[in-house]
Amino acid sequence: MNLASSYSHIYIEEGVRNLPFSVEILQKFPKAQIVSVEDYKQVFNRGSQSFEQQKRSPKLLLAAKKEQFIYDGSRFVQDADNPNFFYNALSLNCAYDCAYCYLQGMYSSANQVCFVNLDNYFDATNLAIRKRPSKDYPLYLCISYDTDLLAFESVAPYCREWIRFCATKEGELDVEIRTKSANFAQLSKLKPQANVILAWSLSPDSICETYEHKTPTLRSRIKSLTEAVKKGWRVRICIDPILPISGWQEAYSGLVEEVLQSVDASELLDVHLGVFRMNSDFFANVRKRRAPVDLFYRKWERKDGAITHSDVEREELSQYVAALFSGHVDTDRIRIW
Amino acid sequence: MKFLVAALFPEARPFIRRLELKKESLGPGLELYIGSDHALLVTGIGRLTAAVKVARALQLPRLLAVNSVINIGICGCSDISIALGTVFIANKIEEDSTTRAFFPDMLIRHPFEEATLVTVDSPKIRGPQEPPERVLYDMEASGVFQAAAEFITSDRLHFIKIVSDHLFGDKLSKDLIKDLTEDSLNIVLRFLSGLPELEPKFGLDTNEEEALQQLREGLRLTQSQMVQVHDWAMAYRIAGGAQLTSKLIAVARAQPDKQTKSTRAVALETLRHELGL
Repeated sequence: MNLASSYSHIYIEEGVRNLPFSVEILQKFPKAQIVSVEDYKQVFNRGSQSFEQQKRSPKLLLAAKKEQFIYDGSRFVQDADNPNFFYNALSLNCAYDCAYCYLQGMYSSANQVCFVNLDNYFDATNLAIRKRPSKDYPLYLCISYDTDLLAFESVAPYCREWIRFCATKEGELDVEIRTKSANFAQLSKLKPQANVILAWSLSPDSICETYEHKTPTLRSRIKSLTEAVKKGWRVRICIDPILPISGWQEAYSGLVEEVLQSVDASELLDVHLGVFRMNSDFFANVRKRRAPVDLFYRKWERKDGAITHSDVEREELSQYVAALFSGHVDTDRIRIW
Repeated sequence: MKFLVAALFPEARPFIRRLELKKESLGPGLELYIGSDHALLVTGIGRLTAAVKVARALQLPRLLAVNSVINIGICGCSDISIALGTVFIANKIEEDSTTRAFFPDMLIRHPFEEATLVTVDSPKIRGPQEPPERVLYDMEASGVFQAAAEFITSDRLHFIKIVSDHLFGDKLSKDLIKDLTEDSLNIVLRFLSGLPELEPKFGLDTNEEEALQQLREGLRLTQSQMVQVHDWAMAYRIAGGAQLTSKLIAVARAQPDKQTKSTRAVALETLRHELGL
């Protein structure tokens, strides 16, 4: 198929066209067709879209977020984690196309929305810092929650802007930037920020190839995180979801071995592990919208409105991978979700 | 099958001839021309009549194979620097009377200019102060979009418009319309030939579905057990597994006549094992 290039078209709300962040993004696409819209939802939320086809040639939408600049995520937090857990949505959708990702069930469009009114987000974050439930802890904010910001940094430098913002907030704000990218070079000129956590999601190569379409290889992700550690950044390793593919034990052993050979585990902030779980409505949407993937036809359990593993399977998967880190990472630095 | 929609016969005639389409009577008032890979509908003027006729046509069994809808025709252009005969593809369609906007997905590379197309209810005459941006005007596109989007996704809707005037209210002759369309025929047909066919939907074939049904009856599976077995069958096929039909039949045949909860559980476990899940 003779596809137009990704981001060949940029849909832009008239009100944000001259914001500095919009101007910076638009400068990177001098040949793009610019289509003005009243509200990004006219394009993003319309009916009769094909997620599958759009993913092959995604477009960019530049918009202003009008409300909800920060979400309370404390219900996701377990045990003794920070009670001030929040996340935001700076961008909708992701440059990657992971077969197990809930975004493809959450949104009817595969196009990428970038909210460019960053000052509103910063104001809302300042307010949330002041009003945070526990003053004993900083506000903990995940800014790459429903997307992969670092993967998109060369287009929309959100990470750079937030790292600068964080520089004035030490002790009252911790920010996590989760990524599968190998794009640390985009940040390498910035001074490491003690209250910014760079969290790399890693999977065995066989999973990267089969399920994590458009993502960098495991080796390049590890190279990127190793550089971040060397530069003095706080780095988290995330292995989530741990997938029970054929030969999963060997695959995850190989993954952890490769990590431990590349980076001194004592220099890692911590390790987060998790298994597949997806809102059951999103799960059903994915089965309807996307080309079939075996993961969506295996035996799952439905629990509290989510599709996930049985407790036994969950324990087996997460404990096995946790054990691979024993002797290298203290158990209190391994979190299982 | 690609489905072309034109308002006027002079817009349609060059395509009918080149594609060797034959007129077919498939309903009163439906002016349809059909060939092996293309169909063409002449709707008459106006968004409402266009919407009604497109919706009627797309419900015909003869047009079930339609995988792209292409609205082709002439348009007015606000920018007088644009030469008559220039071919555009619309990236946004505004409906003048309702101010609603519609967006065909622009996924396919094309050789045309792009612009916003405004669908008006009466011919647009240029005013003293036309907006600085380039705008196209027609009388059908928003109706075609709304009707066609009920049947196929918006990445398969294309609105190709040939500039016929600059909104000075001149009457356009049939010959001029035919000539403008004729001149752009090759470039439009090249674009059409590059449009993707629908990919076949992955699923179980008829034999596999029948074998599943046989298994269901043999084992007296509940609806939820049947859904689970169907999912296993899909997982097996996605993983490239072969001979699914014979595996299903083998398990069905190996069962005792009288099924109990425990024999059913054993049978399902056997099947799961057979499928390597």
